[in-house]
Amino acid sequence: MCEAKVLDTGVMLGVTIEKDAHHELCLDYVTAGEPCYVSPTVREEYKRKEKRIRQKLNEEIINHRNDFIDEVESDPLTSGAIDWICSELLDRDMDSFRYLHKYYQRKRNESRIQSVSQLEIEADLEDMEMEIWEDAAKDQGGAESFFVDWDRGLENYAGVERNLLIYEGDDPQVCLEAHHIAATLGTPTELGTTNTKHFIEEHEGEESSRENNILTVTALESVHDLAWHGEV
Amino acid sequence: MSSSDYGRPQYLCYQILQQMDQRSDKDIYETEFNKLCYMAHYTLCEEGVDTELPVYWYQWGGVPDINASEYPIFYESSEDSTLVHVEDLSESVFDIADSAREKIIEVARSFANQYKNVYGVDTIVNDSYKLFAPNDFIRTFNSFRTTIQGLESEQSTLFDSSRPSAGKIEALRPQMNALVQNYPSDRYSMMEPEFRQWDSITRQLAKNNQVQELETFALRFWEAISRVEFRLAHNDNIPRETIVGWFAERENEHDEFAAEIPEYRSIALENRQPTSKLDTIADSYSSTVRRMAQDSHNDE
Repeated sequence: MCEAKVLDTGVMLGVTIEKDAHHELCLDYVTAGEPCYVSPTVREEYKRKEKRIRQKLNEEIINHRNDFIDEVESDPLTSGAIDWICSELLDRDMDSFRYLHKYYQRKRNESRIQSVSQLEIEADLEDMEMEIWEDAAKDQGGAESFFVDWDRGLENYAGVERNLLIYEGDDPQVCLEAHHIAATLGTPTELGTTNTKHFIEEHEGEESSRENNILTVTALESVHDLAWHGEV
Repeated sequence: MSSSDYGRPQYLCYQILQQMDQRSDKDIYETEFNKLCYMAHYTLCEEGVDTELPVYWYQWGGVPDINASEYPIFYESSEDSTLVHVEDLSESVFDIADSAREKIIEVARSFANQYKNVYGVDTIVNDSYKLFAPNDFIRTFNSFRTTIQGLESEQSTLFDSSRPSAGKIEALRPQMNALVQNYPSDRYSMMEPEFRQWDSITRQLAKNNQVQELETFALRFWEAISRVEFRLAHNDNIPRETIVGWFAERENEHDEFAAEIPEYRSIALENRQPTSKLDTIADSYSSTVRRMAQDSHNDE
C-alpha cells in the first residue's frame, strides 16, 4: 500500500472537468486519504490543458447557440427540425460535435412525447456554457483541496533519466519529478496516471514494459492505471 | 486660431447654437450640442455639403471632435453638466461659400425648430440613435442599455426579497438575441470573441438577478468596443494623427477588456443556481475532454 501519491495531468483533469464514471474513478483515487502531490511540470501542463479545453468547448457552444438563434425559425421544434439542426448547424470538426449530437438525439426523442421549444434549447445551451467552467469536484470541497503542490525543490537525476524507456514529450520529466518526490518522502509512493500507453504498456523493441522500467529505475513503489477503459 | 480662420466646421457649430438661441431660452447641454452637430453634419452630407466637421461614433453616440479654442464656442460647467455657449460674432468672419452657408443655416434652423421645446437629452439622444446610428447592432444596444437601467430602478423598489425570482433573463433575452443576430462580424472582428463572452456571461448575470454587475459589465463592454471598433469604423474628417493614436491604443484597450472577462465570469459562476445539462450527456462530454487532453499532448 502506498502512503503518498503523485498525480499525472489526466487524473487532475478527470477530477476537475469530467463528469462520468471516469470522473468518479479519479475522484475516488484522490480522496482515498493519501496526500496527492502535483509536481511543477504536471501543474504547468494541467493549467495549460484545463484552460485550453474549457475555453475551446465554451466557445464552440456559444458559437453554436449564436447559429441556433440566427438560423432556427420553427417553434416548437419538430423531430425533423432537430435533425436539420444536427446536419446543418453541428460541424463534425467541432470538438463538441459528439456530445451536442447526443443532446439533440435526446431532444429528438423527447419531441415525440412533449413539445420542445426554441427557448428550452437556448436556455440549455446557456447553462452548458457555464457548466463547462465549473469545478466538477465542487460538492466535495473543490478539486484544489485534494492537490498538494510539490514545493520542496527538485534535483537532477541524469542516471535515472538515462535508464528510463519513456521519452514522449514532458513524460520523462513527469517521471523524474515523481521519482524525486518518492525519494524525498522516503515512503511508498505511487504514480497515478491515465496515460497507460506511455507509463504502463510494453512497446515493441523495448526490453520491458514501461511500468516495470519505471519501478526498476525510480524510487516509485507502484504505477496506478487510471485510464478509462469503459465504452461510451 | 483667429476668427479669420473660421470655415465650414466652425460655421456649423456657430449656426447650431445661434439658431437654437434665437428660438428658445433653454440652456444647451454638451450632449445635446454634440448630437445636433453630428446629425446636422450627416444631414448636410446627404445633401451634398461636406461640413468638414470631424465626427465619430463613440460610447454614447455620435460626437464632434472639437477643440473649443478653434471654434466660436465656450463651455461652462454647471452642477453635474456642461453647458455650451456661442460667441457673439458677425457672419462675415466665416470664410464660406454662399451655397454652403445657406444649406447650413437651413439645416441648423430645422433642427432648432425640432428641438427648441424639448427639455432633457433623452429625446435627442434616442433620435440620433434611431436615425444616425451606423448599424442595427448599435441601435439595439441603446435599447438594451435603456432596458437594464429600467431593471435597476425596478430592483431598487422591490422590497419582497422572500419571493422567489425567475431572474431578469426573460426581459433581456429578445434584445440579447437581436444583438447576437445584428453583430457585424465583418466590421468588428477584433471584438467578436469578447462580444460572445460578454453575451454568455451577461445572460447568467441576468438569471442570477445581478443587475448592478450586469450594468457595470455592459458599460465596460461598450466602452471597450467603442475604443477598439466604433471610433475607427465610423468617423469622418478626423485628423490622421488622431486616427493613428486610436490605432495605437486599440490592442491595449482590447487586451484590457479581455483580461477582465474571467472576473465577471467568476462572479456569475459563484452566484448561479446549479444546473446539470452536461450531466445528462456526461459520457460523451467526458470522452471529448479526454480526447482533447490526449490531442493536446500529441500536439506538443
